[in-house]
Amino acid sequence: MKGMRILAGIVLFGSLWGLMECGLGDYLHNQGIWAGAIMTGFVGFGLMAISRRIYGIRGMQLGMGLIAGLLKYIHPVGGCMLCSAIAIAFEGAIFEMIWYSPKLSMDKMSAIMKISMGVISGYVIYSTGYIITQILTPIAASAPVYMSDIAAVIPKILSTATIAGLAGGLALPAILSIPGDSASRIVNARKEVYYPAAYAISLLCWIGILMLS
Amino acid sequence: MKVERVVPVIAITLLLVGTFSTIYVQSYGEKGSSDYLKINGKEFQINEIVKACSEKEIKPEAGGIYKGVLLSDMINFSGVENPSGYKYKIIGSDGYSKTVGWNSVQNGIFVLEKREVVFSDLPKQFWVKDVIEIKVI
Repeated sequence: MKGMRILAGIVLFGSLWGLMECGLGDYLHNQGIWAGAIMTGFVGFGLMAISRRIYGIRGMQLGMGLIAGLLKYIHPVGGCMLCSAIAIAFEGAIFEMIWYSPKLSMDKMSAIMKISMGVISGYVIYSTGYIITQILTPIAASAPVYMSDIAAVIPKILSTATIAGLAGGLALPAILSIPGDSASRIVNARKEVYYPAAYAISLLCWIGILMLS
Repeated sequence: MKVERVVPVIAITLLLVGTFSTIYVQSYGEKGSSDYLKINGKEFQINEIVKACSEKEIKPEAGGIYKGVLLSDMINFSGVENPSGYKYKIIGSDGYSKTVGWNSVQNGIFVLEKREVVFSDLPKQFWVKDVIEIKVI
């Protein structure tokens, strides 16, 4: 697959993720609902799984996380921008690590495997991202890091990650229920359609983020 | 062992860890009382603190406008001598805690509605909701 086609896919899915984080994520946060866990389990993991299914390329999700994290950081509304941005940026990297093995082919999984991998992905991506941001946010803000504070918050992280795990367990089978030929249709779309559509949707996402600010 | 057998076991284990952590967090939360706040090992009535300490409105770097009781006044009110020589661990009802120095305490307020400590100079990650105790360490 051509590099530019993949790059356009990274920008598109990263922008969609960023817009969802800035819109739906902030709304859930303001409502006092488990915003981080729901966004990671359904939206973040969901979009990464969709892009992996469509393109089947490793490394794409790392780029998506970086773009979504950057968009979250420049959007000055809602929860902790710096901590959310750091967590989102690392969520892509954690997805890549979990789904690194070629044995984990999304198209060849049994129903139990789909649910289980969804649970593991949602749980691990959320909890690891949360712990990483607890360490890196104070460093980025030139504030002190106390290991006792991080240890104290771990039960809360492991507790909330259950929501992310359950969300992932629902999201992955739902995503994989979409027929495989729909994915190949997107990847193999004519360049006259693919590039303008990808860039136009990405641009709309950025405009949406600016309007939400 | 086959991947198909290991993966579901890991998933169930994670959900069990999450369930037990939820029970632990919930039991921790029951230790707090809505009318009282523990500072430096002593319990104070919230009303008592409000009467004794001055209020301030701040505009944190993280955004928004917040009004609350000065955190530094609360520490002084609790009877801490030489407060600049200590660090302060702010603990929420869910076990979430953050440790800050005196400089940040001087930039912090206690918002009564959510019992939340808000700092004007630190990221939102340092804000602690539903505070039950401030430990002097």
